[in-house]
Amino acid sequence: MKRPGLIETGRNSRAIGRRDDRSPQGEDRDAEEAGYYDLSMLKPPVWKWEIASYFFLGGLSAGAYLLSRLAARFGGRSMEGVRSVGTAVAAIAALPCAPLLIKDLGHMSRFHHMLRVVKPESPMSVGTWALTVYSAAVALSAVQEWLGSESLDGAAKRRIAAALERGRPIMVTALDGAGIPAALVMISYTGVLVSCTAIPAWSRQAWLSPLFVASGMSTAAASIQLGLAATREGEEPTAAEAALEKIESVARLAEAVSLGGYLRSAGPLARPLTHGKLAHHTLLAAAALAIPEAIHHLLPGKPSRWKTYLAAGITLAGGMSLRWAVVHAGRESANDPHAARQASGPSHPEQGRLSLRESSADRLLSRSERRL
Amino acid sequence: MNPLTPPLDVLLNAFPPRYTPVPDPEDEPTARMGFFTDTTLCIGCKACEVACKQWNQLPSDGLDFTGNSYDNTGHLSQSTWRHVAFKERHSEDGTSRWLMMSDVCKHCEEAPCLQACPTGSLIYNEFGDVYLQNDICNGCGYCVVACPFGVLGRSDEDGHAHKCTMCYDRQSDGMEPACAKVCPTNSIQFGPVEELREQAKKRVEQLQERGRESAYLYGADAFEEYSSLNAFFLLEDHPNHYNLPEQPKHPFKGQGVRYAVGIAAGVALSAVSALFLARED
Repeated sequence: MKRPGLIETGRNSRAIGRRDDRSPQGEDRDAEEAGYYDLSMLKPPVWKWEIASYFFLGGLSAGAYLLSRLAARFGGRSMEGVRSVGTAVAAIAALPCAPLLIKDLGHMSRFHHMLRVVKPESPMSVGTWALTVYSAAVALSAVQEWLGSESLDGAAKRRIAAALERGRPIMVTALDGAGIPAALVMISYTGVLVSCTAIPAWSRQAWLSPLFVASGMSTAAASIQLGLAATREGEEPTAAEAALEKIESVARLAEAVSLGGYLRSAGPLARPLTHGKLAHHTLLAAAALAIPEAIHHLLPGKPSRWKTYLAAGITLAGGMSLRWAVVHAGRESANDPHAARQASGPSHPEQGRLSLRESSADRLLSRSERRL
Repeated sequence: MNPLTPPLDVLLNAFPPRYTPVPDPEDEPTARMGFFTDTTLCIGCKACEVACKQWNQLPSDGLDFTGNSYDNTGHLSQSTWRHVAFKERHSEDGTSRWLMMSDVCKHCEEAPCLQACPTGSLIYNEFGDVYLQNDICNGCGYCVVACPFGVLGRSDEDGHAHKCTMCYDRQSDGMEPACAKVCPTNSIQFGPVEELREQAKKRVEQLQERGRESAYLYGADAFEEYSSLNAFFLLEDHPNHYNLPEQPKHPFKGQGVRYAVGIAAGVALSAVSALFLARED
């Protein structure tokens, strides 16, 4: 653990010995004395870029899977693209998920060891199982999609397809029955996971889960849209793309509400997201909620392929930025001694205070709390 | 707290934390064991830190000069299971005093780390201590962020989490943990938690009779919304001065509600999406 020494910083020297300099730094010294030097009582998360990327890809994949299943169930012929491209996006985005988690754990075998226990009260265990069931469902859906496609032909394939055709309704029901609930857990559990921690910026924040859900949906719709735009013939968006654009708008609205709700309920505890080096990530995530709308509705000219590319690209960048900011904010938040003290304060300051006599320590503390 | 409507109440109480008793009733009855750390007796000799490192063969933390009084350790970690905190307190009247406390894993009665652990590596052992079986730890790091006291750490060397075992090996052989054994002033006391609590309460009364009225127990009884601690402390100042949370919060409280909110958001967005996708032809 490396920390600035006594000589480099004036802060420490004040905290240690020079008690006589009451002012003008007296207030400052009080604030430092309210805690244990400049050290936080919490440990920072060990999660890094692997987890931020996994949160992004897992959400995107689950969202794409949900959209493709919805298109298969409720969409007509014009929505077939959403089904096939959605399945492909879900499968491609799900591919790196397990390797990213294994990278974080350090050993291949450790992912397998996760599956020795089912523990519903631990979101980490729930997530591992959701990812496992979901990955299997998405892989089977992708195989099914491939068998139904016209890109491949041959006697072998026809035989498999014919064999599967008889069991198809049962298989589809079974797949959806396992895959859709797993996808719903996949898309939402990451927010619950970070909220079940002592990290001040995350701890018990109920908005994080809908925030990740909405972001998962908007990025999924954007990537399917990218896939459809790349394969369409004319410049005019198809009916499927128009539907996806509407879905994206609704998801972005939900994301904006959740982000606002989170920042409001976390208040000063969300400071790492709004100040310092993560602020531009949060800003990009927030801007990506409005810019695509502006591109589609305010930019002059007819709808074009490039507009779609640009808008969808910004949505994807915003989704990744959001996960990056939230995951990395945990580290800053845990290392902030003020945040940790504030988050563990009494819920009812008057009754909750421990049976301490009103000492100078209390006065110092309440003064520093006011400053926060 | 406001009166809750029944379904919300059910969700709030979903996934209840596990309580201490795990030992089989068939086993011979053993009392729950714990630590009572009396900071008024601590002389800051750090013998507990050294004894812990030696007995448990923990690696060194390197040589760092923090400038924070006599504390160059900083905090508990994967390689430091006892940490002696030194806090210099200077009061308005010009007098100064030292707060010294040997910090340790609190062995919470409802431990969030134990609930977080996805592999069942963290358990309550037969002595009622929170024990981490690091051979089956997967290194997911969830316990690190679940602990409201910042006790656990993940080692970069083996990728496992590590923490105080309350010297499980020594206890199994009928010995007290190394830190309690070595403590020259009996600041660290080890024994059945119930007995320690009685003892600690008498000690607080004794101190208060002598005029040290700020003495109080931290973690001997349950907090506002957190369980009692099997390793509790006698403190003489605000907990934050010892780098302890004033009112620790259980991170898993309301987990069911947060799941419900997330899933509901997913279902709602799916329903809206279905409308848009179904509208064409």
